[in-house]
Amino acid sequence: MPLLPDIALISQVLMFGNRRAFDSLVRKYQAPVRRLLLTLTAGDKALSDDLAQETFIKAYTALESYKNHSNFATWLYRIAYNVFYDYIRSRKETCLMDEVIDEVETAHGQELSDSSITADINEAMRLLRPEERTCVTLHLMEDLPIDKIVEITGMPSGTIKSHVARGRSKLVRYLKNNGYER
Amino acid sequence: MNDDELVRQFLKSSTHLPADEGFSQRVMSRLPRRPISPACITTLEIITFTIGIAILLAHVDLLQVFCNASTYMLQTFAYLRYTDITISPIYIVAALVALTVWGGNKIRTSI
Repeated sequence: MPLLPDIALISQVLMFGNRRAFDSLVRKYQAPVRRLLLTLTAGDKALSDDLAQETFIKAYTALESYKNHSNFATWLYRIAYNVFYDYIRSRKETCLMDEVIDEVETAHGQELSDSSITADINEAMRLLRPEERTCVTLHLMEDLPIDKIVEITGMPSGTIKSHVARGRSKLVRYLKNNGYER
Repeated sequence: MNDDELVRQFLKSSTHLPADEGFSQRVMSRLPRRPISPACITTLEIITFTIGIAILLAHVDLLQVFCNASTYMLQTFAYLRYTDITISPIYIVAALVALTVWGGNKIRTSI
């Protein structure tokens, strides 16, 4: 299928039930969604893959509710964010998310990290609280502006800025302690 | 290099994800069946209604029978058997429209 704008693909899915059009959307956005969830789960590939699949299935079933006010990527990020927090809530351990992730990591063992840098990023991310991790990932890794993060998370912009600042200072401390600073 | 750049560079140093061809296949295999869109239902309603009217108009006898039957039923249900009420075909068309809209809504709410 030739490269069509998102809105044309979405219209084809909605009007004609064209699954190939949705497949094109999945192929286009799978990498950023998987990357976001991989970071939020501190490197758990299996879990982030499941959550990413869940994100696209929810997007498919809720496609009628997509309004062209925000771009499709932002809308998908919001679904991914909700899917991740729904998963955490479903484990009834919202306030102990790091423990959930640690538990999953122990279970998956070595498959979680591909390289030492990835392992370091995951280790550094585990130092952050879930909200800090989310805001740092979206702002510093995905380069999203604060107003987009407000749309995705529903947090006030001031709260997001303080999460980013706190997360950043924790990461800087980690980097300095581990010899990353030149 | 300031703190912001240091952190960004660190986080982006391993953000490349290898292409996963199987991912979209796994998603597509799990997609539920989509309900028929309201636009499609409206199109179906219009087509059904047009065909219905065409059949009725093509068979005037059938239209006459339908009118008579409708008159009788209406009179019966409304206790108007002894009044000289007559049903114009326009009411039959209106009834068809109402029936189509009602049926369309039933289909829409049932799926």
